Amino acid sequence: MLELALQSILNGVLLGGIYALMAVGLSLCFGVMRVANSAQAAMAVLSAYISYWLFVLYGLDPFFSIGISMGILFTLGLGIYRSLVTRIINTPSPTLLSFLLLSAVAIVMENSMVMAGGNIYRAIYTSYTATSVEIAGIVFPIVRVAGFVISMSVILVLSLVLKFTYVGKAMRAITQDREAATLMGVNATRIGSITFGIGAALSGIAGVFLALIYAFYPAVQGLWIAKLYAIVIFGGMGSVPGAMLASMVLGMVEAVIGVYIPTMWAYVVAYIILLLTLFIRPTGLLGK
Amino acid sequence: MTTLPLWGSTFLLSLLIIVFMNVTFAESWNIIGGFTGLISFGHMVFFGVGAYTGAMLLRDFGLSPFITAPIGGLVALLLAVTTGLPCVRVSGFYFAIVTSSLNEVVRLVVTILPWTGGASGIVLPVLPFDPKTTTSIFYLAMLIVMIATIFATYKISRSKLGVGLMAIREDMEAAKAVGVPASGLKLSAIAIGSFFPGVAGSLYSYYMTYIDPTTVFNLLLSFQAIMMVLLGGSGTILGPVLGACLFTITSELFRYTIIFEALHAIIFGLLLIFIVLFIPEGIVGWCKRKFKSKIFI
Amino acid sequence: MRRWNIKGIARTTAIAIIIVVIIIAGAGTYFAMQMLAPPAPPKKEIVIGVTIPYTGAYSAYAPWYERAYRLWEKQVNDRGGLLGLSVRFIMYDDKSDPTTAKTIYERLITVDKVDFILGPFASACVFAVAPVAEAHKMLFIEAGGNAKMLFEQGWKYIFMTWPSFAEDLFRGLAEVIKKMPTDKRPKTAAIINADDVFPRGIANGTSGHLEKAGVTIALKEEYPKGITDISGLITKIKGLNPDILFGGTYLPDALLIVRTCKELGYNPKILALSTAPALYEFYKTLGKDANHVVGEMQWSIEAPYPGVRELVEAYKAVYGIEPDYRVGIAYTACELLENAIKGVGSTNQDALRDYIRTHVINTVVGPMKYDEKGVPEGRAMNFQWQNGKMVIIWPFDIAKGELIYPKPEWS
Repeated sequence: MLELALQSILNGVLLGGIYALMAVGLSLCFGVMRVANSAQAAMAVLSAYISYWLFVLYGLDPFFSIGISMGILFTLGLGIYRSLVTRIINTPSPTLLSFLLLSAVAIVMENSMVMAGGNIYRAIYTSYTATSVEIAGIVFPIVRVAGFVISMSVILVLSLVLKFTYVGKAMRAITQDREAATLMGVNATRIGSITFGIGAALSGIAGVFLALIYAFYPAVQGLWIAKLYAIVIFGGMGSVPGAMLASMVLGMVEAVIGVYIPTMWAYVVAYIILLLTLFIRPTGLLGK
Repeated sequence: MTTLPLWGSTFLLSLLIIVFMNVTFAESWNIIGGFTGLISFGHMVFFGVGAYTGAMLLRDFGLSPFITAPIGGLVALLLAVTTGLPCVRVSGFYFAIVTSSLNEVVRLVVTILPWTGGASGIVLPVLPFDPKTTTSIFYLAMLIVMIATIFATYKISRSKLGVGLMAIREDMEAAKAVGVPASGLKLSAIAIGSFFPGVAGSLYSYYMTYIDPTTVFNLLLSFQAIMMVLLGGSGTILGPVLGACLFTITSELFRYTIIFEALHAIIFGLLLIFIVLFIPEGIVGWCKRKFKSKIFI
Repeated sequence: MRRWNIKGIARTTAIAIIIVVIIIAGAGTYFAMQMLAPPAPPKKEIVIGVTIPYTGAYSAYAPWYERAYRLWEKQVNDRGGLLGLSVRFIMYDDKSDPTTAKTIYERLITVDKVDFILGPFASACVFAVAPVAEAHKMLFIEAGGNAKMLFEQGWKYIFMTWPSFAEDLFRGLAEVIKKMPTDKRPKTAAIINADDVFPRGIANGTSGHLEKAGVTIALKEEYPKGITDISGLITKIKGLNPDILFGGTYLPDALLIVRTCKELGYNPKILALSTAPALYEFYKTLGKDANHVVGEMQWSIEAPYPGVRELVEAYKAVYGIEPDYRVGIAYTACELLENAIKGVGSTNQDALRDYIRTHVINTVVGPMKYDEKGVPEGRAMNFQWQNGKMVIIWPFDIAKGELIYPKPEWS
């Protein structure tokens, strides 16, 4: 019984770690620029494809392609931001418009991938895929643990960046008060594009693990983005710790509750928790 | 339009049925989203609830959805009002997530409960007429529902309710300051906006003779409705009509002319990007601005 | 002087505008459709209409069906066509959506005026389209859905090309278990399935068959079709440690289940999944982890029926890969049609329907003998992946090997 519970909790935590990468990116974009990046999951899928093809064509181990994916996605993020998002950033409702705009971008990305490679399920299959280590009766899937460790490290680095670097401080300043920050000399456009790029890069890392752990295909981005929004809003849009906390909670709900009650009801429970939280505290757990 | 059954082909009639459904869906969404500013991503839940009400009443009591359709609308309305009560405190973007979560909860519950037929869905009897007549009957029914929806929207826009809603949309605090009962009006908008998709849903289940949770609670179609309204012009009366017609017709045209189906989605995606960036007020909204004529309501 | 009723005029104008817009939209649609509707085909060819799920949830199946139909189309024309006329397929995308499928078939029948229709893919779409076929009194051979419910509606024109219902797909596994010595048999099973018509039918049916073989069902649960992570459910199952894990699955969830079982170190004595193991993508994605998984298929390239060898060779020659069972089922629909037309000598839908009902027609799926509901006498095959090959373990008269039991540990 205890073993079951511990295993479930571990599953939940590991799962949460993977969600966290993308959720933090989404929350950050919202916090700094009030932009809802609906293309977050599509970017992760793109990164998954990049890793996949690098692996299949050149034998490059996915862990090494993390850096490449990050770079490509960061640049793509910058590009999308400067060309499209800047046009709507100064309207009265940037959130809604960016949501729709980036949803459209996600659709274009998804279907471009379909046209390029077809709606075929792909997964990276290495010698260490799905292997695990058993410690004291609890099973630790290696790739998920690696994903969790990398995810937490990256988020830690990000927190340090936010706290100690100029760019990070500028991002926080804009989150608190955009006008005041601009008056103090912060270039909102430049910081905005860097933030968006960082969000994209985070998706880039997540995408590699997506390819390693799951089988993916272009349409999976629709399923993931719905989850991500639920996580981020639950945790509080704009709050990095909130996104992390909510990721863990959702991971737990999916992994743990599903063990004790029928799976379908677990999802109903998850949604109801989300709804109740929003009714009681509309800004989410740790949101402002 | 009403004489179409006499000279149109069954295909044209069935196509127009879809157009009418889309117009009803878009226009009713417009009441909640366009007039009031409450962007709902779960509008399909009302349609689905109506569909299941009509189907279950037919299956269990033998009542024809042509009679029970208003009940389908009422059930949807009940759902809207009960969940709407807490929802009206939540605004803007959060409302979007709340509504889509609601859609998912209802879909999951319908899938789990055996009483609703679960994932296997519900099969309904077919009307005992030849295809042309059957389709014509549904054609007329949907036409009536659509006209009722448009008329209701029109009435709202010209009423105190409508003015209040638009005030709430523009600036809720200011509206409250001048005495607009924000929560009450929002609830009214949600109630009215949920009724019509419920009615359309009941008829839909009879028309298709088969429904299952995945089809009638499809989130993607809610998204499509938003696109149609944006295209036409949200907050206007003609906007959703125009948007729904254009969207449905273009979809059909594409289906028979463009070979790569993924290309349809890409084109619509690019179109949406274009609209959001350059004409967020939609075609009718843009015409309103450009031509300053009273025609574009 | 009478004051103008401004409000009334404005209102009338508004209503007039709305009506005008609707009329224009309607007329526009009509003329657009007229432009698109092809002229009545000169009676030099036989046209067959069908929808394929090029996009949407079932899109992975689209290329297989299309290729099967196109191959037959080419072959039949090389043979001189049917009734002296050349044969042509019209295919549209139904987006895996029943409503869309229904509209398209209306169009195929009333606007494109096809001579024949074949069914769409997936039971949900077949459900929506069958009434259309019935209403227009058109022969409805469908290679898309095998839910039992489809054949309890009293439809008269429907014929299924799948030899077996979803519910009976794993009857073979139960038979294999019954043949084992009593003390060695698996005793418990966990049954999970995606929340959709077809997987549910499979799960319910298999559950019944297993129980008849003396197996206790320890757990029976559904999960959402689009599930992204199944660790919770598998952990729960691992805790119960049943001998058999059975999944009523489609492809993505099947892949997920296999991987998660390996990740969590759960190795059931029998791991059986529906649909996926017979698909080309299964072994390609999982590699050696696919070994020892038990699956079902309704047709195999090794099936001992006339025409199978030829089909496999022809398919490989044109497309460069081997066909899987989807091709066999789709091709059978064409064979039935061709046979019936040649037997009757006309395109009369009723005559063709009666011919199929009263004759045993040889197809790649086997000899098809139909009852009055449109259900053929037939059975599916169960197989197990062994060393990278699908080895048929049931029916016993065509089995090529035996079930490796219990399943060896993950490598």
